Amino acid sequence: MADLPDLETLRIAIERIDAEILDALRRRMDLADDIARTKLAAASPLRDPRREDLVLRKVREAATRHGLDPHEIERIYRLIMDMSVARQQSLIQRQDTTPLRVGYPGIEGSYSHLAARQRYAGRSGGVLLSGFETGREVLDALRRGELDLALLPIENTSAGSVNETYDLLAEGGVSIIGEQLSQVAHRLLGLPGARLEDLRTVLSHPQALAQCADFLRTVPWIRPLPEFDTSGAALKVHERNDPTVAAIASESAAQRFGLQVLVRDIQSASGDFTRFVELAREATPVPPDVPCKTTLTVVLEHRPGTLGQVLTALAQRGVNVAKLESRPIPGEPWRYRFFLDLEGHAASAPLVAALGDLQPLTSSMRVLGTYPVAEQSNE
Amino acid sequence: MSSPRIAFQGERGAYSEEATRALFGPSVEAVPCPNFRAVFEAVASGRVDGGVVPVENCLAGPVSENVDLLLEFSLPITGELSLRIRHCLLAPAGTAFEGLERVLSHPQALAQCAGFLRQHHLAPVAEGDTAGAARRVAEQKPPRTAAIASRTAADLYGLTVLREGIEDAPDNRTRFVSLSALPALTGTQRKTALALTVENTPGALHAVLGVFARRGLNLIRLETRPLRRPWEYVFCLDLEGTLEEPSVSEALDEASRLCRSFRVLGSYRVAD
Repeated sequence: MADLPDLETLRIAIERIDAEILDALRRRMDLADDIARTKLAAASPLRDPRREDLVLRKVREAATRHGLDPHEIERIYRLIMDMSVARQQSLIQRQDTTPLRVGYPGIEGSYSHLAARQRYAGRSGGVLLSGFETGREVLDALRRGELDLALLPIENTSAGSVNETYDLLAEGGVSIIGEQLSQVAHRLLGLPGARLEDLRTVLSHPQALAQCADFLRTVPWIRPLPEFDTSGAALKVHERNDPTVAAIASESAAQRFGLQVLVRDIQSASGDFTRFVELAREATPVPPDVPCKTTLTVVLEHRPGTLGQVLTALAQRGVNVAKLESRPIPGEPWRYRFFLDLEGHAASAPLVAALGDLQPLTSSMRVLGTYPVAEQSNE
Repeated sequence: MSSPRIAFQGERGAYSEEATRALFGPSVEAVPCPNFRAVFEAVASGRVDGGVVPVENCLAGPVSENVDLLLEFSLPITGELSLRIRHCLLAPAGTAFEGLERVLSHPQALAQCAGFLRQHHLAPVAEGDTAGAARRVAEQKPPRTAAIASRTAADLYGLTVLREGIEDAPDNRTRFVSLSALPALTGTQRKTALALTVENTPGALHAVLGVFARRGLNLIRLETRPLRRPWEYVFCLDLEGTLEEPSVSEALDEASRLCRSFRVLGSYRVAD
């Protein structure tokens, strides 16, 4: 019969390992606190479901290598991650100043996240960023009071207007309180070592594919496929681990998912910008000396020539139209809702007079917001 | 005369093929193309007699890529058709609606059924086109996955229609235009499509539109597309009437002098 160690010795060994596990957990939680503080200062999202999926996958792989059941280990890690997030949240609540809660569409590394970081990073009191699957989910969270602000892309210099954002604005319940211009730098990303000539598929958001249409025509062997966001496309390339699949996304997404920049200059226009609108539940007063814009949405009376009359009325009052966009009205084929960006404050004399002139020409008219004009940082 | 060869985007069973048959008659030889640019290239090179492309949906708005291609290629618009779109949820025979998790289709079709998908907690997955999504579901039979496409696509690929008419708005229509070849089907409404740019000064656009308003011409549609320079736009206009009418040709003559650039994309009849 083999010489078995006695039970007491085994128990002592287990207690020692438990102490090590608890000590490691303690250190992991302390790191989580540091991460929360860094995220607040750097304007990174506190919780990023797809990032968590990635961590869990690595844990499952490591578990298998260690000869452990990957699914049991995943269950333990889900608990640890929940603990960690709960701790980060309570740390944020204990702060003297409450952080600003901002939502945007897309995951970490998406252009919306980059624009949000550019706008809010370094804000005193910190900022809590959250990425959502769609613009609609962002606005629902804003309307429910779970967010203070929403940042949504509305227009790109080469691909044009973002229709979804216009349709969400038409639904009402929110005000435009600001705008942000952000330079877009697309890169073609692939797995490390992937070669351009071996690629077969490129994934990205349809707008990004449109912005790189000229480049894509020079590589006809690569088939473009639409994805819901650029950063999500990069994540997919990482997950599929297939050297024939590439993504069009930001440099930051490349770093995020361990991808290599295969081609740097793939954009049709050199100075490609995306304009974002900042939305809140309530309008914010704009000081009178700040140059600003007013966004208006109108549905015109159904008779010939009303659009011409609207533009005439604005011109006669000296109000310049910075942008004019039309969107279909659901249930009324080939009738349109117009969105006008007017230069000036909604309470300024020319605008007040012009809006009065517009009233009889429209069946509905709403001011979506007056906000400071964003500066174009560079060309 | 032999039947015309007309290019459309998508696979067999696409809504564009339906529009092609409606405009050019059942004997038309409809030629599938992998993307919209390929349709324009096929027509421009003379490999086909004409093309049919969607330009606008009454729920999702303009098909911007085709608006841009109309501006890039100088192919005349020869006709127009507003096609009623009834989206169907398709799956291999024996698939239970309750077990579905994912739905494949073109992003525009997914957008048109967004309410239905939200209500039934179905995750949208983007595909290149509707008929292609149907073919994938039929061939690969991915579990708990359906496609959104036409009834024609269901018949073509042997799929079961689980739900019909799942679009959010009851009257879902897409406007298709024909390029180069004259369609067999025409109607009474006449239209002229224009693309123009104006100087970046206050009131420049209003001056152009004022010309049409003074002559009592109805502006049906006005759309903006970005130029490659930040925050400058091309305006795409549809006017009622054709160039044969003196009031239209005179107005265009006057308006063109107020513009930086001015082009007639087509002057045609709209199919009833």
